[in-house]
Amino acid sequence: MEDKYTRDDLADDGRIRDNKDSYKNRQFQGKRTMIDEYTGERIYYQKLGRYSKNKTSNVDHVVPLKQLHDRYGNTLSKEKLREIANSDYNLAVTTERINKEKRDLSNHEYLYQQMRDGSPKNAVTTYNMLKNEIRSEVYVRTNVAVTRTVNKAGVLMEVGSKKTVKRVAYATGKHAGEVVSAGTDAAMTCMITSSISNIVLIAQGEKDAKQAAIDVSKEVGGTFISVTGKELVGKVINEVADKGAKKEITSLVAENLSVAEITNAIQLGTSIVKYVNDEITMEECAVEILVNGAGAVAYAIGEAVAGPVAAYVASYVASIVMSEICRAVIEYRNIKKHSEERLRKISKLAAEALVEMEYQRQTLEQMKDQEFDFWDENINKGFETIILSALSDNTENVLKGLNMILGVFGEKVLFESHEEFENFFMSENPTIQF
Amino acid sequence: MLIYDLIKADKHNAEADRINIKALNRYGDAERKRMEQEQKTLQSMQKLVNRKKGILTTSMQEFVELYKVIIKVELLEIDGTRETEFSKLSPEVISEMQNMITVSGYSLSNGQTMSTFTMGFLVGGLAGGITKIISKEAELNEAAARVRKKASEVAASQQETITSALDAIYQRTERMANLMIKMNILFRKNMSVVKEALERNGSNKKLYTKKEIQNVHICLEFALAIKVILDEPILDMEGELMQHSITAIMVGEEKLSRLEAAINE
Repeated sequence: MEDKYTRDDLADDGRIRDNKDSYKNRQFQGKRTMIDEYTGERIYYQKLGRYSKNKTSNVDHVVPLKQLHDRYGNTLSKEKLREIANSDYNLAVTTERINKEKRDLSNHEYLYQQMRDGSPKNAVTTYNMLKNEIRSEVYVRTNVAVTRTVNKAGVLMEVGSKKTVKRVAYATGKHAGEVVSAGTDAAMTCMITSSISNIVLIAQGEKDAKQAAIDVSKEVGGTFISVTGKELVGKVINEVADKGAKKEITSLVAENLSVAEITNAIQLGTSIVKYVNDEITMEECAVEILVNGAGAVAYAIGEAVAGPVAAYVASYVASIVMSEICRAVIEYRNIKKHSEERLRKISKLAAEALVEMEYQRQTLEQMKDQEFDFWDENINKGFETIILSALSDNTENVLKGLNMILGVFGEKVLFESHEEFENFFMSENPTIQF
Repeated sequence: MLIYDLIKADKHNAEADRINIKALNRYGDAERKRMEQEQKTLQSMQKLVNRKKGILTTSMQEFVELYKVIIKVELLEIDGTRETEFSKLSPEVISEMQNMITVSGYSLSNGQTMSTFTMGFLVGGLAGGITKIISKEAELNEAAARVRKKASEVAASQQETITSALDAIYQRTERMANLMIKMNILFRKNMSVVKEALERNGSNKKLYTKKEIQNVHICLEFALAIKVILDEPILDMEGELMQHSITAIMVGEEKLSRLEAAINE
């Protein structure tokens, strides 16, 4: 690492792994293993043995130290950069192999490199790494924006007001961090990014919280009023108001954020509002941000490397990379969604089938009972009549018994009485067809 | 494509195993019961065929022989398409009648052919679809196991419907066979009573007493009744019970096909 700060200036091994309450220790919670935040596989706290690199844990800086330095080294203090770099929101526990292979690459750059080198990561790893990158990037950019706001505003403010502005921005940044960590907070983060001026105006007493929340939502392209947005704004206001600073602020100039950051915020915002409106899930939001925001992110990446021309080239290349990765992630998401929909459809069809088939079977059983009850009753009665009649030498009743039996087949005896038969018997050339 | 690698690499887990085993067991049980009922029903049908043949070749033949001196007996096929005439008393006709009773061209073999066809229809058509669904290839992840369980449940239900339909046939053929035995016993008893009078009096009707004429009448009616039962098809395709059996199976077949299509989407 060249230029302003060294790696040692920015790294904080104690915070990330060595201290008792380090990020690593808090993630492992005293256990021997945990689930890798990128791969979803089980990894170990300690080195294992021969194949330890795939199973031993390391703590990765999601946005690498070098990139943070290259982007913000000239605008942020060493302490601030170190704080942002080693915040929980920029860390992830993964394998030693991934961490060492990744080096100073961002997550998506690393994924692209692996794909290019013929060792593409599977979709779970791809998705998790990209999701973490979004979270970390949003956190980093928000904090940087807040810090810059504080710095710039501080220049313009009188001494008394500077404190209040700092308090406002700090509160916003603090709550932004909390919100990001909850996983539902990209929306909040975007709102924070564009709502600094609104919050200040609230603090000045020129707007109420509800109106501020409405304006914040409009600024990110949505018309939906987020309950959580209001809540966040409310939190910040309360914190500031508690310090009795509401009336102290006289003026504040809206922070001139960089073009890339504004673009990023707007593009984030569109997807985020859809998420907040329950039109898409958080995961879908993350994927959309990747797809739609790839260009802006790439532009920002390019800008960090060289001037505008180089930025366009870099952004083009990065867009392709991002698009490829995104396509894979989207397809995975679609397949998973399709699988869930498919299972729902199959379950519904199966349930309907079972009900209908059960009904048919019950009807069949009822018909069997009716038919065979009828059969048994008439056949048994018929035989009983025949036998009793035979015993009592009553041949007319034998005919009755035969009729009961033949009735089951829809038939009856040919001659209903002996007299009738006798007439036939005595006739000339009696013929019977049956 | 890496996504498909991911999907295929979903791990076999204990839950998928448990679901799979339970599903296959349920289907396996249902199929076994169906096969047992199928055997039972076929055996019952064969028994009825044999019994009918036996009665035709013995009791009915004796009856025709016995009565020829006094009454011209014409035995016809019930639906008229396979008419067998025992109308005249010539030796040629009697011999022809005897051939027709004892040899294949009669309703018994036709009934047997029909039974084979119907049994095939009832039992045979579904196996391919079911085995396609109940495949033991794996992708033994839980989602696939759940799909398999659903398919197995429906397939098992269809086996149960078929078993019920086969049982309906079995119960009918058993009743028919038992009826034939009882009727034959009474018939033969009557014939032995009548034989004596016919041998004594021959064709001279004036020699018959009132009681003897009554016995001749009763014996004739027994023969008629047995003929009615003999002419009853082994499988009553037109009967309400059979029709509903076929409907129930067809409904199940349709549901299975739709499910199979959804699974293969």
